This record gives sequence, C-alpha cells and structure tokens, in this order.
Amino acid sequence: MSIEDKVRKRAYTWTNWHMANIDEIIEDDEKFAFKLKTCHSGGRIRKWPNHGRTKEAHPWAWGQKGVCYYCSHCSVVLETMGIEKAGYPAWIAEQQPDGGCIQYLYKDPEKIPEKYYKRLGLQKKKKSG
Amino acid sequence: MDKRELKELTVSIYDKLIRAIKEGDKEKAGALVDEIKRNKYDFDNSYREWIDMMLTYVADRLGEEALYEIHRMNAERALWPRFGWVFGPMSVEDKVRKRAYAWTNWHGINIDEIVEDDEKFSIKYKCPSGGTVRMWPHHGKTRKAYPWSWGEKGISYYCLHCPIVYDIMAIEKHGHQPWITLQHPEGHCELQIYKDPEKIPEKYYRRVGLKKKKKSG
Repeated sequence: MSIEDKVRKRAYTWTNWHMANIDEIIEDDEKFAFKLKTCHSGGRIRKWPNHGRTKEAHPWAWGQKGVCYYCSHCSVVLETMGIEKAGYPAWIAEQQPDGGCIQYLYKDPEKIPEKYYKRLGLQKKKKSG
Repeated sequence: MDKRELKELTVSIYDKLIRAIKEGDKEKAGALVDEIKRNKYDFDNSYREWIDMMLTYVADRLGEEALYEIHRMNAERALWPRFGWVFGPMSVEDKVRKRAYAWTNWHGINIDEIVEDDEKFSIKYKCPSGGTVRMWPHHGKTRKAYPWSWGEKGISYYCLHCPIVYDIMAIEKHGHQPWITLQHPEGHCELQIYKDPEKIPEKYYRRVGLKKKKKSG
C-alpha cells in the first residue's frame, strides 16, 4: 500500500470508526503527523482523575512510569508488535498533555529515528547490503 | 499529498453526515448512516472482544470468583451512574420508555417487540451486547454454577454483569430487580419490567441465591 493510502486508512479509523475529528494532519519531507488535541481513545482516560497507570517503567510502556494502562496498547501493539511482525512500528505515538496525542507515519520506515526503538527496549536493525 | 485532501481526511463521519443533510444530499446521508451503523457495531465489538479476553484471562489466573468482584466494581463506576434512574421516582411507563431508549438510542439497535400483559412489560430483542459475545464460538463462560450466574454453568463472563448488577446488587440496594433478564437461544434476550415489583416471582430471587422479602404489615 502506498504511504498516501496508509494515511487515508489511518485517518478513516479516527474519523469513521472512532467517529472523531482529527485536529490536523501535517506533512513534512519525512512523515505525516496526525494531531489529536484529545485522543478519543486513551486520551479521555488520561483525563479521568482516577485510572490505572504503570507503577514502574516498562519497555512495553515506552520505558516510562505513569503510562495509562489503557494507552499501553499503543506501545505494545502498534510499536513493539509492529516491530516484531514487520520490522518497524506501524506508527509512532507521542503522548501530549491534556489527553492529546500525535501519531507519526513515516514515509520511509528506514527513517524512523532509533530513539523510538530504544524506548521499547529494542534495537533498530540496520538495513543489510 | 494535496493539502485540501489532508484537511478533508480530518472530518468525522458525523460532521460529514451533518454536511450531507444541510446540502440536502439524502442518498449520501443515508449511506453515511449505514456506515455509522456498521462501524459502531464493529467498534463496540472490538471492545467486547477485549473485555471478554480480559475477563477470561482474569478467571484463568485468579479464579472465576474474581469476576464477581470486577463486575461489582464496574457497576459502581460505570453502570449505576448510567442506569440508577431506574429506581428513581418514575412511572413504570417512563421506565419502559427509558429502558427502550437505552437499546434503541444508546446501543443503537431495533427492539423486536415490547409486549404488555397485566403484570409486566417484556422487551424482546437480539442482544447486541452479551448476545453477540454468546454467539462467538470461543468466549469465556462459567465452568460452574454460581448464584451470580443465575445458578447456571456456561454463562458468558461478559453476560455476568446482568445477574451481578441488575439482580444481586439491585436487590441489595433497593430490595428488588429493575428488570428480569431471560436469556434465549441465538443471542436473544428478554427483559421483563414488572409493574409492581412485589409481583416479581420468588424464583428470580432464588436463582441468584437470595430470598424475596415479604412485605411487612
């Protein structure tokens, strides 16, 4: 699938499945950034005064303490399992204050910065040849 | 990508529907409503799968008794705030209207039939909630008969919220059930709302291990 079609399908899941507006989709040379002022999934939970969150820093919670248990599906499924299955994260999630989130879809997965592998306790594999 | 396309990709299906209605495009509006129906069902199903899987995981590791506690906690946090109205000062007709609304406008399904007799209203429907889960070939279900599973073995872990919350907890809090749940084959269910709670048959207390209190005086 082309990167453009991935962007269209990823947008569709927000707009037609979660049925939420996306605040902005920005393109630069390397990637598309989906900006959500409040993520309609875990972002809402993060705004609840009481909700489950990691008591320790785990690789499957971006190496951070205090990650909402619900939100850890992003790091476990779309990043860690994405790397296991395809060699790179499906997209990168960067949590923002007040329930916001930015998701990055890289045009070339090779350009995904190494730090996004490291925060999961993984190493980015160098392309052979 | 074209900036206009990127902007259009940000618009929710609800806003697209509102736009189609304002533009008088009935065909497009109808297609969007059908898409909302399909996607809502799939979206809700994805959460039902998650809940069923988590309940099964908990039961396998902590024992099925832990499910009773989880459903009670969920009741206090999520269900009673949404359904506590049923014990408020309200006519039985309004209760029927509100209960029907929860199916038609919250779950978003059609009810097959609402039947009234002298004692009660019966709301009959294919349950999009636990009824869907019960139709899956693989889902968590009780390995033993518990009072909190209507004294039956093989009740879906997901469906347990009905006997735990709307039977046991309701009786604890208010002395009677807001409605009686009867599971039927193929994911169908029937909710019976008694006009006079005193008329709720004793067997519906016994199946959850409780006794119906006799009215004093």
